[in-house]
Amino acid sequence: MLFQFGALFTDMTVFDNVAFQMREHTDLPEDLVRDLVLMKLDAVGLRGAAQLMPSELSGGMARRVALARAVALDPTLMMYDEPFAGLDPISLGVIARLIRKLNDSLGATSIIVTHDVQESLHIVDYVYFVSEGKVVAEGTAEEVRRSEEPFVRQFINGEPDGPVAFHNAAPDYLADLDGIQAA
Amino acid sequence: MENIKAVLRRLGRTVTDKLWRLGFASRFFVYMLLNSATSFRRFRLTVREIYFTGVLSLVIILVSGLFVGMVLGLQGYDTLQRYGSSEALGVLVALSLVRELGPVVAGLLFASRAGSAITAEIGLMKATEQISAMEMMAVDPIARVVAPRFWAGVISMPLLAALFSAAGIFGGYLVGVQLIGVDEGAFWSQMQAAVDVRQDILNGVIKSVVFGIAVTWIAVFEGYDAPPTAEGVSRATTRTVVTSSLAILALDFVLTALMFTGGNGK
Repeated sequence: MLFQFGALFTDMTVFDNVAFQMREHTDLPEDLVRDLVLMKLDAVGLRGAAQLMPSELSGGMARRVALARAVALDPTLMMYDEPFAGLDPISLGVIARLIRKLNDSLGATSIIVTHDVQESLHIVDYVYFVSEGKVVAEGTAEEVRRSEEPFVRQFINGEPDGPVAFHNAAPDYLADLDGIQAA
Repeated sequence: MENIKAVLRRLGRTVTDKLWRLGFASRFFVYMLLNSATSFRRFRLTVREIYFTGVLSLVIILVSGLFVGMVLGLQGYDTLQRYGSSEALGVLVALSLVRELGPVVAGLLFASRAGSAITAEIGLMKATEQISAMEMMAVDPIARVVAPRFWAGVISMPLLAALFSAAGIFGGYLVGVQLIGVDEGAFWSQMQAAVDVRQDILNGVIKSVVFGIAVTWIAVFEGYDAPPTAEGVSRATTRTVVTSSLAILALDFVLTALMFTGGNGK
């Protein structure tokens, strides 16, 4: 699983973070662990950062290290919690393509929970829109793009008005500013 | 009548909450003991924590021990010379330290220096989802993170208390013998004659082991149970220091009563 903010172990180097699961769950010799870790780090473009501490990484780099750690044991099911949140456009594009590439090369199933509809529509096979605990729309990326469903349209186009209210329920604005309590 | 009911209800809820938390802490303790094998099978995990809790506490322990011993030397000499028994200064300093001040003051310093650090570290690991990440990797955080810290504390505490006492005795020697001029031979020989390994030193070691268990248990539990927010970790750290300090003082009374009164008639 990839956590929203990486959840890297702050008392370990990047290398040890990626090697963590191999050392905990396998009896692989350290030479082999080293090779595997460097391969995973190379896949996310951070082989040169192997000896850095998590505090020395940018947000995008930390997310990429977390991704390398998450795929360390070649899982067949991957879950991503908001993998695009808070990333600059370059890191965002790189991570999105990387998720797709890893998914294909591992032959894995990936579930991405995200609010970044545009980016995710480029890489996913199937989309579910979930609102208040219920699936309100679903389909392939192309079907979702062509959908006339008001919820989907509002979400894709980022419109303030629609089935999803932008403002929380609140007393009358002017009355609130004037400090007049509603009866 | 309604007010009384409300007060009783609040009181009941508070007591129930405290009891529930105590029960949770006890189950946590048992679970931690049952999952301590990793701490010994991969002892380097525990050694690493001994460095953080024990070695890094050395400066404050040694300096505090030295000053406590020096004060004991001054105060003890002032009292003893009134009765013409200033040669017994070594006995007074040594017994005060190995029986009482060594374990208690070292325990209080350990709770402030290492206990708070353990709580803050585990609490922050929880707040930054590192504990959840470990669980997602099928690694038990209690076995991997909590138990090594607990055993490191249990191992470090008696060693720190012994070093505190040694530094204190040296401080008492500096003031009593080197500064005031108490006879050096009397200082050491009376100390050797009066301090019993089993009755005094061993009882002091037992105290420090019990304090080590109490402080580290409180510290790891508070960290693990801390709400994953800045405020939650801050409150948990404060609770660790306050609860540990009170636990040390209460346990000290109980242990002293058992060891030096009813137990052996000394």
